[in-house]
Amino acid sequence: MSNKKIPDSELLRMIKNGEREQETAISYLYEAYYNFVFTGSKKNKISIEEAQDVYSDAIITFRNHVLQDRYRGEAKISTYIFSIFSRRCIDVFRKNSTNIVDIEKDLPVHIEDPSFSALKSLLIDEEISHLNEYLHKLSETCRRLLLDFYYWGYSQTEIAERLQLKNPHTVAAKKYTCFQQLMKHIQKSGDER
Amino acid sequence: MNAKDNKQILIEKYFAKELEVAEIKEFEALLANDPDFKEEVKAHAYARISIQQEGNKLLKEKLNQMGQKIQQEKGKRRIVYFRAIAAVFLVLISSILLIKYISDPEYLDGKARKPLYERELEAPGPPGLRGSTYNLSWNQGVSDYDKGDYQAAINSWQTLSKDTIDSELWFYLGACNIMLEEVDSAHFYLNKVEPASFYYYQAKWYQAILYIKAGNQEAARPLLEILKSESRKYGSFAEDILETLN
Repeated sequence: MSNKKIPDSELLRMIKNGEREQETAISYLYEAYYNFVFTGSKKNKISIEEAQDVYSDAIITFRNHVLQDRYRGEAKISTYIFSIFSRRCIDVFRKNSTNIVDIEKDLPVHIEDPSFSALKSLLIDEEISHLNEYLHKLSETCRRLLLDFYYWGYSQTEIAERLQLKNPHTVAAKKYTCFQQLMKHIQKSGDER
Repeated sequence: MNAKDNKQILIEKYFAKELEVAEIKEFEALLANDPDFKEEVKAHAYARISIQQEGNKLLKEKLNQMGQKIQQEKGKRRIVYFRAIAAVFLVLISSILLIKYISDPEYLDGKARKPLYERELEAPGPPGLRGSTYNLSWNQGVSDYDKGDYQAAINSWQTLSKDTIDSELWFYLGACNIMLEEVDSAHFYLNKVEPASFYYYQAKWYQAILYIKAGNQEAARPLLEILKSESRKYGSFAEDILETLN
C-alpha cells in the first residue's frame, strides 16, 4: 500500500462508495492506525493478539457507522476509531464481552437507522446469534454474490465480472433466488425451533 | 402483479429506504396486523443480518491476517534495527580502540603487542649539525649516523670525545654501540650522560631496556624507578615494565 496520506473526507467517500474503493479505504485505515494495537495492549494490560482482534472489530464498527451515517466527520477518523477501540479494550480487560452477542456490530447497516425502529422490536437476540451459518448452506456462487452485493456494495455489472456471470440481469435473477434460498433456510430453522 | 408480489416489493423498498410516507404507513399497518407479512419481514431482516455477520467475519479474518503481516514486518524491522545498532556500536568501539592504538607512537609498528623490552631498539633520530670548523668531525659523524653507518659515526666522533664533557656526544656514541650490539660500550657511554642533560632519561631508558634484554632485571629496576618517578616521557612505560617484573 502507498504511504501517501488519504484525507478523512476522501476515506469517507471511498467507504460509502463501496466496492474496491471501500476495501482499499479499510486496508489503508487498518495500517494507518495499527499502532493503537500496541498502545491498547500496554494501557489495558491485554495481549497483543487480543488488542489486534479488538482493533479489527473497531475498524469494522467504524465502517458500519459510516454506512449507517452514524459517523458524519464530527471528530477525526483516528479519534473516532480510537474511542471505539479503547472501549472494547476495556471490555476485554474486564472479560465482559466474551459471551455477549454484539447486536450493534451484527445488525445490517440500515437497521440501526431510527426509521427501522418498528422492525428492531421483531428481532430476538438469541435468534440473531450465528445467523451467518445459514449462508454456508448456500452454494459458493450464491454466498459470494450476496456478500458482494449486500456487504461490499458492488454493482450488478461488477458482480457479473467478478463471478463470471453472463450479464447484470443474470446477477439480478440469481441474487433474488439466492436471497430466497437463504430466507427459506432461516425460516425452516425457525420452524424447527 | 399479485398481492404477494406487492408485499415483496414493499419489503424490498423498505430495506432500501425508498418508501414514500403513505407506503411507510401501509408497511407499518401490515407489520402490526398481518402475521405472515411480519414473518416475511423478519425473514428478510434475518437474511440480511446473516450476510452482515458473514461479511464482518470475513473482513475481520482479512484484517487479522493484515495485522499478523504487519507484526512480522515490524519484527523483521526490529531485528534489522538492533543489528544496525550493534554494527554502529562495534564500529564505535573499534574506532575508539583504533584511535587509541594509532595515537600512541609506541604502538605504531607491527611489533606493538610485544612488551617494550622485547622489541628491537631503534636508533634515535640524528643530532643537529654544529656550525664551526672545529665541528667538522661532529658533522661528519652526524652524516654517517644519518646514513646508518654507525661504525663510521663512532670513528668520527671518537676523535672528539677524549677531553670534552659532551652528553649529546656520549649519548649518540652509546646509541651507535647499541645499534652495533656492543652492549658494554653502549653502557659505558650512556653512563656518562649528565643528569642535567636533555638526553639523560633517554639514556637511562636505553640502559634499562638493555639490562632487561640481557636478563639483568636487578640492574634495570633502579633505572626504571628513576624514570617512573622523574620522567614524564618514559614514566608510564617504566611503571608498566616494573609491574611486569614484579
